[in-house]
This record gives sequence, structure tokens and C-alpha cells, in this order.
Amino acid sequence: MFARAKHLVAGAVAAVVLWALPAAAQTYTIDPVHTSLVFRVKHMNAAYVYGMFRQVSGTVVVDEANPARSSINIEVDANSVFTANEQRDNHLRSPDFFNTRQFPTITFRSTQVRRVNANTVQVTGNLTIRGVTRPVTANVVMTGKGKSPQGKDLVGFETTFDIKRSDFGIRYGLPGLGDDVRVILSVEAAK
Amino acid sequence: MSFLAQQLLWGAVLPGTITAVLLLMGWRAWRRDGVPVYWGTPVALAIGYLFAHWRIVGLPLSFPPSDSTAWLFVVAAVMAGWGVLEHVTNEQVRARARWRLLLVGVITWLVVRPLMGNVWQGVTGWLWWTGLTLGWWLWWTAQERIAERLPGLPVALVLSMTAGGGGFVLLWSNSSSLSQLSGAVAAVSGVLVPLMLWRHNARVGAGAVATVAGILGLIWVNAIAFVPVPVVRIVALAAASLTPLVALLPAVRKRPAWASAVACAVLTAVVLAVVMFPTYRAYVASASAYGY
Repeated sequence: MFARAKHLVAGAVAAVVLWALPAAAQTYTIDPVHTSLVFRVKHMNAAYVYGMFRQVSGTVVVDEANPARSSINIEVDANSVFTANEQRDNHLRSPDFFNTRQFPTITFRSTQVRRVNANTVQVTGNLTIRGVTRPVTANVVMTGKGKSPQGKDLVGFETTFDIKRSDFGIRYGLPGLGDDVRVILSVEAAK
Repeated sequence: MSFLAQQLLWGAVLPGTITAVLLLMGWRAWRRDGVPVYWGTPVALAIGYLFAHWRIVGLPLSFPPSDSTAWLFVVAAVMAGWGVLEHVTNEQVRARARWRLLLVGVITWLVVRPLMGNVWQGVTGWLWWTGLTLGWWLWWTAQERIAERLPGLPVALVLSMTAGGGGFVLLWSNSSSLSQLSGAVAAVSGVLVPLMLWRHNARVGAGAVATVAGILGLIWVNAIAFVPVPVVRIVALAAASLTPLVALLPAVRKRPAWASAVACAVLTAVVLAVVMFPTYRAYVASASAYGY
């Protein structure tokens, strides 16, 4: 009887200690099927033209208790660029733009994450396009959590930020084709 | 100013003007026994091209450049010096060709190295490097030999036409910046034509050919390796530039200089049309109703 009570107390203490400890960082893998990387560029100072990359992969480390320990690494297949015009897509793959034969991947590696509010973190990292690396900072909003039909834990994020393509050595067609590129990234990751 | 007009101004009109002014200044400033010395021609050609490159694709962001197109800027600067060396040195033809092979091999290696082991696996990479090096070197050496025998109008005219026609071929092969850079080579070498009509004793020597063949050859290497443009199209362009050989035929040789230049130009135009027409057709066939 006394021994049983001792076990119950020990179990309760262990539960309290585990609850009080910060949750461990969780590593999620980006789901390319439910992740969208969209960009827009102004054409001849008139309308915005939208495009996307169809192949996005990478990992997201989420530590809700300590966001500074969170991170995001993204790899984009530059050849997967899609603008609903095959000739334009081939042109975007050429040395005029992404030069995908020489630079087949676009990468983002976070270097710092800090909490802004309950659902938002500010992520700073290095974006590499066409072999040129530049720091970017963006607010990333957690859009939700869920379960996949297979029972995996899902987490979703979205961010929008602007870059100048000339900063990455992509100067073709300036200024007719805009220098400012808006990037919209919506990530779903699973574990 | 419209987009097209702006591109033409920065990529052709101003580079051509810069080269023309520098050529005239050089021909006036450096004379030996009253005859202009043409060592400045490669420098004038290269400076005109460098200006166009700066305006079209910008300056290299780093050195050595990480980007294949940026190498063209560096190599154009090197070709200015190399052209002067080819002009002033009294090395024998074979010795010059050996040094040229070394130069072409090193440049090709530096430019296509990122593709080796990635796009070109194993021995394929070495085969591409060897093929591009030898092709570029053979074409350059052929141009030098032609310029040695025919240092006048036909060489300048045909090289300019080839660069211009090549610009269209590259444009229709999904590479507008290489197309414009080829157009810049056409513009800077094209200004030699009216200047040579004006000054009949002006010469396009090995130095000027070195600069043009160095820059245009690397544009073609870039096109094959990075766009990629089918090799057969580039070989046809190279063949179009060999038409001044016609001017060496006895029947043509007896004619006045302008007549042999016209004969070369017509033949070059025919060869260029043979490569440009199917390229254009393929481009139109792949285009959507609105273009882009």
C-alpha cells in the first residue's frame, strides 16, 4: 500500500517537472504539394505578372517555448519556375534570369528568429539566388496547426517580403521589367 | 523613350559611337611615317563592348565572377590587352596560335567549370571542355589567318554581320542578354566598316580580330553551355564568318575592294539566313498567341 503511494507521488512529480520544462524543438519537413512559393514582378510599368516555383523542399524547426531556437531551411528547384507561358519559363531558366544550368537551386537559411507576438516571428536569414547571397528579414505568421489524413502533425506558415532582383545580379530588362520582386511563401510542413 | 529604343541606345548606338571616337583619336594620335598605327583598335573595340556590357547586364558583382555571363566582362578587358599584344609582337604564327590555345583553354575552363560534375557528368564534361576550346580556337585562328591575308573591309563587314545575325539567333534561342551582347559586338566592329570605306588604307589586323573573336567566341561558348543553344546553330554562325575566304579566289581578287566586300556580304547573308530562318520558325512555333 505504502509502496504504491510512493509510485503515484513519483509519477505526479515527474509529470509536473515535464510540464514545467520547455517543450523540445520539433522538426517538420516541408510538404511540397501544399507549399506555394509565388512571386510577382511589374511588366513595362503596367501590370503585375505572377509566377511560382513548383518544387520547394526543406525543414522547419519549431520551438514555441523558445522561438530563438527555431529555424527554417528552404531549397527551391529553380528549374521548376512556372508562369503559365512555356516560352517565358524557358527564358526565365536562361542566363538572362536564373541561369539554372549553373545555379539549379535557390536557398534560404535562417540565421535568427525572434518572437513578435503570439502568432508571428521575425525571421532573418540568407537568401541565395544565382550564386549571390543577401540577407533578408521577414515577418512569418503561423497560419495554423492540424493533422494530415495519415495522422501526421501539420503546421502552416505564411510570409510576404520584397527583394530587388538586381541585388542578386539579375539585371536583364531593367527598368522595363521591374526590379522589385514581391515574394509570397506559404509553407505546410509535417512530422 | 521606349524600352526597345533604350536598349538600342545603350547596347548599340553609344558603344559604337564610343569605339568610333576612340578609333579616330587613336588613328590621329599614333602615326609612324605619317601612316596610322592600329594598335589602339583592339582597345577601342573592347571599351565600346565593356560600356555595352555594363549597361545591358551590369558590372560583375564579384571577382572572380561567379556567373557565366559576368565572365564576358572580364574576358573583354583581357582581350583588349591580348589584342594589343597580338598586334605588336613579332611572334611567329604558330607560336601565337599555341599561346592562344592556352588562353582559350583556361578561359573555357573557368567559365564552364560549374557545369562539370553537375550538368556534364564524368568524362562528358571533359569532352565538352575540349570541344568548346578547340572549336573556339580553330575559329579564332581561322579569323586571324583571314585578317592577315585580307586586312581590309571584308573582314570587318563579315564579322559585324555574323555578330549581328548571331544576335538574332540567340534572341530566338531564349537568350536576350547574350543576343544584345552579340549585337554590341556587331555595333563596335560595324563602325570599322564606314571608317574603312573612308580611309582605304585602314587595316583590321590580328589585334582587332583577337578582341572580336575573343568576345564573340565566349558569347557562343556561353550560349552552348548555359542557354543551351544547339551546337549546329553556332557552327553555322562560325561558318558564315569564314566567307571572306571567297575574296581570295583569283576571280574575286581582281575586283575592287568594295566589290569583293559586297560578294562576301551577300554570301554571309545567305549562310546567316540558312541558320536564322529555322531558328525563327522554331521560336514562333513555341510562342503563345500574345508572346510575352
